[in-house]
Amino acid sequence: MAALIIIVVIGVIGIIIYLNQPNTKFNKAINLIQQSRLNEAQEILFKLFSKHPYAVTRYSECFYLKAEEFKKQKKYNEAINWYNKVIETKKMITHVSDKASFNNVAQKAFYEISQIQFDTISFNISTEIIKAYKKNLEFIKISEFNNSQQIPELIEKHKHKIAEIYFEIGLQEEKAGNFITAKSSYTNATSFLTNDLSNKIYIQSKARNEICKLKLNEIIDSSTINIIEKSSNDIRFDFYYRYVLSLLKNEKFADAESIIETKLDTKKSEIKKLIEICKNEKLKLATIEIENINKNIKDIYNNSSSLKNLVELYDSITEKSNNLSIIIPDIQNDLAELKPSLFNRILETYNERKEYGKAISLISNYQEFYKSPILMKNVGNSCFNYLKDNNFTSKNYKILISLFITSAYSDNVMLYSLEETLWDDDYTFSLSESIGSSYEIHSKIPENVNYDEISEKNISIGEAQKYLLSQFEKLINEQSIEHDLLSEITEFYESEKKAIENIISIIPNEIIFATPYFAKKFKIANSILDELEHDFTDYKNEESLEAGIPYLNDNRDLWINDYNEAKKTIETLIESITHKNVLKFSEALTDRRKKLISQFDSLKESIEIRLVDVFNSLTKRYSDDESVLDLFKKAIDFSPTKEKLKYQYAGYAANLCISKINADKMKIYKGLQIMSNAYKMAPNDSRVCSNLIALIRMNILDILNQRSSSASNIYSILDEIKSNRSNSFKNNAGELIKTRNEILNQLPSDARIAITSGINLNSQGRELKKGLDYLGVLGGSSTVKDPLAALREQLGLNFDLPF
Amino acid sequence: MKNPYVVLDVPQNATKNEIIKGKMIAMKQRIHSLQDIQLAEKQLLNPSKRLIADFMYPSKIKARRPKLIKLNITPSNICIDDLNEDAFDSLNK
Repeated sequence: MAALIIIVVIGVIGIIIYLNQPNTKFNKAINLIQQSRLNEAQEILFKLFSKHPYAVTRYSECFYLKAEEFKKQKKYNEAINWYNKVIETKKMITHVSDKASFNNVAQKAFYEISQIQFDTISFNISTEIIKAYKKNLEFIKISEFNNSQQIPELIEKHKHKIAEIYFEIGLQEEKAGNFITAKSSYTNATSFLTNDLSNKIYIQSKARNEICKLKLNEIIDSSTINIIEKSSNDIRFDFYYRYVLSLLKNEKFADAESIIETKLDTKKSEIKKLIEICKNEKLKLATIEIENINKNIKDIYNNSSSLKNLVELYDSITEKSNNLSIIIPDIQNDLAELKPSLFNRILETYNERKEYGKAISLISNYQEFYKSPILMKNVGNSCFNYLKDNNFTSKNYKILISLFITSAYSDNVMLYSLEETLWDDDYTFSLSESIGSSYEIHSKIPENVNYDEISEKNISIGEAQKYLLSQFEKLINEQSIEHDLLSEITEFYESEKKAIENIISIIPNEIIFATPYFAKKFKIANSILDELEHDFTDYKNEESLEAGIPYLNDNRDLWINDYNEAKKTIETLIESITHKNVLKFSEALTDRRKKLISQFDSLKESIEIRLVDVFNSLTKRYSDDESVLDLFKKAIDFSPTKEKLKYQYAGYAANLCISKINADKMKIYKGLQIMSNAYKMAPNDSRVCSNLIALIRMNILDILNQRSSSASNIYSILDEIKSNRSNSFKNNAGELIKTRNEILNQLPSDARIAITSGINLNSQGRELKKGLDYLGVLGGSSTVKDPLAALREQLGLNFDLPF
Repeated sequence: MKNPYVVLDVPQNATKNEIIKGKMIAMKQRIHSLQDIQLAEKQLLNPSKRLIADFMYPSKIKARRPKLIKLNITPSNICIDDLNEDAFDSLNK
């Protein structure tokens, strides 16, 4: 019994101890909170502040829950009181308290206070309300519990409200005509909405701010245009209209016009007025411009215009014409008529002052000057005169030469002169020897011109042209310039002259014949190329393609381009042979290029002779180089005709073999290989044949004397020769028969009989017989055939007898 | 090669008589040497050589005597001050 009592007492004590444990009490408090018995829970928790880490947190939570109740009942003041008590609980935090969990509760309570304060501000357009929002913002800003996730959003709401009020105030002020104040309000509004282009208030405030500036005649901020573009149509239209007015007031007509065209509705009457104002302004400027031009014209009448003024007017006339014609459409003709007159004045002055370089530049910049015989003549004589003063340089010689040659070769220049000159005597002029045409191409010729034979009374136009060229050539040679430059110039002159002569000799139509440099520079090369292309298409005249090459300037799909590439390929091949470069030769010869070359007969026909030439020089430089033989083989394979090349190859191969074998630098088997290849190329070459026969003899003797390790290869080569003996080979082959007989004569008679009959031979004997048979067959003897072979076959004696 | 037309101061379409007359005047004026004057006359009287001289003689392109440009358009009387600045006022919309 006593034990039972003790156990009960101990149990009771245990229970009491258990119940007095902080955790037990804390759990009890949690239960009470769950039952909404918040005061009782707080009483327990109050005693646990120093004993349980979450006691303070839960204690504050009880206040929070009480606040929530009031909030639900919309008793916001009471709710704020209780939320504040949550925050005030901070004072209860002890050293054991979990601060983080308390802070969470406090932050939530603080957010609720801030939100209630925000919600309870009754929104209207007044600065007082702005103050209220700002005050709450300040309240949020200074609190230590303003870290709740919802706080930033709440701050933004405040800012939007403030911006909205500022914007509305701005509108009121603007309507009242207080633009400065309005502007300030709009600026304030935007300051609360940092660059938020998706915010209507922000965009409108910015736009209205700029409109206020325009109303105040202030300069607008052009960087805001992109924001204004996002505003409503009304605001945008209002802005641009006022902006155009402002630009017009500031005489920025081009800018104003650009905005009218792109931003405003030109059908509206007010906008039409704007357009009219712009037009008026342009008209005013045009009037001033025309007055200036008229002044220049008057100066020309009075001969008081300076060259500088003339040149300035001349250079700007096209631009002026383009600009003025927008306002005054008829003016283009007036200004166009002025240009030739100015041109003549300027050219005349340049010629008087001997400023021929400027004259050349003036003429060659005249649009399509090459179509005018007068201008071509003028450019020709300007070039000539310019060169008289030693004016050739490395930079200008090409243009000067091309201009002069093109001018001198132009029949039309001469025909024009003939029209302009008064001839009292009964002279006529003939184009029959003219250098500017090979056919009677000129559709219109003056009455005193014909194509008849030259005589004393029928003067040669061609002779005059040639004289001009000779004088120009003389001038070139008289230039005081460095020798290298003179060579370069002379070479260029000759190439330009040759090229124009070539096209003149081919083209039967009246086109502008020009040198390649001229044609490319003044963009008339295509008309020349087209003519040459037609000539090839119609007549398969490859000279047309050749003539077109200097005029090529792009990769148009032309026969001339194909021909050029084919020709270049041949040049590359020749070059690779010159440099003994087998790889380059192979790489250059693609299937496409082979096909290109095969299209042009003249190229095909020229290939072998060019290859023979280049191999001639190569073999002189490399007399005993086996790699040359590889090049030869590739060249022979490529060349459409081969006979000369084959003989060239055979000769080189024979020389190489002879010199190397004589110098003991080549084995006779190798010699046989090379010589037999030479023989294949030139089977009737006597020298090749006699040397081949000598090598055959030496190789067979080597086999018979068991000095050769290539017997089977040698016999293979001999088999090929055997079946393809040329007359020359046969004529030289006696040496082989002689050798055969000498060998036979050295043998004892029984052995000789055995060898000739082929009976009773051992392996050595058979080897000897084989060699002798080859000597016999290759040597031309038909009697070496075994006379007993048929008998042996009949008797079934097909076995070897002992030697 | 001096330009014979310049030496004799005659135009490109000078007749034979004008050339001879030009020679006489040039000889009196003595601007050019006697040799140059004689050579110039010879050149212009020889059709082949005159062709060459013609080439060297700068010619004028066809041109009309420049006319003063008349402006037939008069500006309208409209002035910027006539425009209503608030024509598209967006404030009251």
